[in-house]
Amino acid sequence: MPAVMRILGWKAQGLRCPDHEISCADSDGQPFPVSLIQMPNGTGKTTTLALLRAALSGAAAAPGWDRHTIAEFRKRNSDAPDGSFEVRLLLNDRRATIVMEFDFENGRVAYKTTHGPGRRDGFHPPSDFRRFMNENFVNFYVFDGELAQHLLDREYTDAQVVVENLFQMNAFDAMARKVGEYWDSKTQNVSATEERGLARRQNRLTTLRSHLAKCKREQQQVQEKRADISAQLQKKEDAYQQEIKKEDARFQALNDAETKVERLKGKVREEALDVLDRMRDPHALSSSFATSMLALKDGLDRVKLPESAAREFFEDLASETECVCGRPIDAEIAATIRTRAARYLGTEDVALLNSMKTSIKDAIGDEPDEGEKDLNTRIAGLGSAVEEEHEARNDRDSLRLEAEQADPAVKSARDDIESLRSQIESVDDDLEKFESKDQTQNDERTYGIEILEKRIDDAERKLAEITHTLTEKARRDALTVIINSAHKKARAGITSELCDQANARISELMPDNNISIDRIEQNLILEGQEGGSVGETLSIAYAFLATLFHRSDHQLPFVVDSPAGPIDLAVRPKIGELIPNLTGQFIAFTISSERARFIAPLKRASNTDIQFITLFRKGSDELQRAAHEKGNVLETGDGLNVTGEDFFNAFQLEEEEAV
Amino acid sequence: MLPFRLRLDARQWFKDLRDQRVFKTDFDAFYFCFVAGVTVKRKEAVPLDETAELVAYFPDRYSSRGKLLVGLFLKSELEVLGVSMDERREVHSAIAHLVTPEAPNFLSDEGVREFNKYAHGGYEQLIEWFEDRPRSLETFLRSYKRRVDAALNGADSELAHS
Repeated sequence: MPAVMRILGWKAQGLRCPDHEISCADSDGQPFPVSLIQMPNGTGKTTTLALLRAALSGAAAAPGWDRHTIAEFRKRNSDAPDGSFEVRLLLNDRRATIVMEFDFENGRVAYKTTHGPGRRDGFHPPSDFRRFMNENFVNFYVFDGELAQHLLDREYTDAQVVVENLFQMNAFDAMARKVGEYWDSKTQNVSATEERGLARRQNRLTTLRSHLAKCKREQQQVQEKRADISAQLQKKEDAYQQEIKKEDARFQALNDAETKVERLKGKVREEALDVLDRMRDPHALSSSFATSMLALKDGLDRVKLPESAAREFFEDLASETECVCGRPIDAEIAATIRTRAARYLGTEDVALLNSMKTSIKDAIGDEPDEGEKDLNTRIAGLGSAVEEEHEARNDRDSLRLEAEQADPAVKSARDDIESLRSQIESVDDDLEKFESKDQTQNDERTYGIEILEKRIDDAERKLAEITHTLTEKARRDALTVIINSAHKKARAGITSELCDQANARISELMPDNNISIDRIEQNLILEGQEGGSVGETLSIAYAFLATLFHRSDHQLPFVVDSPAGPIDLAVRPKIGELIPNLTGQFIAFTISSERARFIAPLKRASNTDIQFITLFRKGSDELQRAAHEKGNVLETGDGLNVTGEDFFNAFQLEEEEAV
Repeated sequence: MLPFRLRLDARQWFKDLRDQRVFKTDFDAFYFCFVAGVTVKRKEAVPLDETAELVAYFPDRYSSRGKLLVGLFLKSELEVLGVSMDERREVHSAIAHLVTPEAPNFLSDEGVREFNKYAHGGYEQLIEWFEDRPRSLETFLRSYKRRVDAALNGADSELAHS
């Protein structure tokens, strides 16, 4: 059944953004198809968006957000020990509420979920919606310019998972599981005489399967941990680079040293690849091999091998009744001749040996040590390049050391980097066991995924034997192969169609930019380039997401920060026209400068009412007066929430006058 | 026709070079194992389920070198079998047993099995030669060449003059 999710509104209290409550629904409780929320810079747009993401994904629950991250949501200059964020949803026409309670004293966020029977502690979205309410997926419908950039970066998103979930391709996995379960159920029915062996084999299979599942889970956790540490390391390395280059003179010297190291690293790699290719010639690897191959060729010449087609001669002879010497050939002799004929080379063997001899002669020539001499020269060159690179590294490290000694901040960043690197090494050690090929350990002490999978294959075969279900197992295996292949084809077909349709939209939006999506993997891969300008990236993201949401049966809200901000004025009307068709509910956070050439086309393209909200901090009496005159005002301790198009459109003027 | 096979532990041993994308395919790992095996005439039979199936031909950069490798293999096999190049009939018989023009790798099933044994034994040799698995191509290649040279110094004359 298709899932339909709508946001009815949210409420923030005691947090970094002004206290506010937003309703995205009309007086009948139906969500507006388009809600535009204007918030001047510094009013907490980013905070609100982060809160929405966390509320819709459960990301803040322990161990998600640390104490430091939670503290960043505390209202400035406030001693209040707690705060809360509540989002109200309509999930397949049924109301649901998710509340995040911030405990700043203890650095914790507690979730409460209400739907169906009542309120529960923790983050518990209805099962139909879980696949859309997680950290990866939420980024695709609560969206900003940074996330548009992330769509092009495999470190941050997994577009394939999103495509799989939106197009219900996980149905293939469910099918494969069902097929597997059918065979499992068949193995339950055997006669009592075989009961003992059966129980043992069933138990082993069950234990192996659960051990493999545990290993895979652990592996994934460790891989995620590694990705986290790597991201932290990248940040630290960037910070270190900034610190270390604070002084101009040092900046120049270090830059030069780093450039040199990078250049020499490239040289070493290039020369090593060149040596590798030369070493793929066995005669260059050692003149002994060259001599040995020549000796084979000369030896074959000396014993006149290959000679004329001997095998065929004996095979023909075996069919005769009389030998060339005049003696008769009976059935027994004919059979012996045929068997022994196999010891001789046939016409095609002869051709092969001749061609091998030619290859040896052409490759080695007359001087068997020529190839090795050439390889030795290249290896010597590689050795010098490695030396040079080491020296350049030493020079760079000395400069870094000087900088570290001169500035404690640099030293501290270096220590952090070292610590993170050693954490990565230890995580890599943890990961290694899952790739182990060691077969000597028992099942419980074996962690190599491939080995465990093989043992499961073997255990299944043994279980099939004892339960006489080998045929069913073979059918299950065949069906699983078909399902997996169908899954692969479906994925390839859908992603390729998505690419084509998204590219058509991109060329409508930006006919002159010559930019397109080549394929969808974990991220979007652009044709022939790494990325575009900020505006281009955002337009690509809109085009992709518009296609994605349009093609899927599921309907999700689309929440965007600065929908038109970085986009050229020329492209804005097209984006404005595209948005009402994107999805059934569009919520945008804007600033006043984004209205130009965006709001009017959006309004024109929209068949329904648009909700206009302006949210700002208390402070300017004049602005507050204007708000009361032109819109419906909802006041909180530190903020004003004004509903109405007139105030929304006039807001910039009022704001400027107030400044 | 049978495919070449690489020991799973050997594939793991060369993991870093594959991850760094300097070894384009697993056949590079197989080649270095094979040559090490031929160098010291070390052959090892390994159960099928402890090996990964590669291809049944000489791929990529090895396609033009396939016949040379078969030549090196045949010479080594004749030595291992104790067949002198002057013994015409035995040479005839041994070669006919190991090669077939129908296979894309020019080897009969028996030939592939024996060829793979050199690669399997070669891996044993590699872990004796190297204390740790290779982490960088430039270091591995230079060390490998030194090891092969050292090993062949003792076996040079046999390889060249038999």
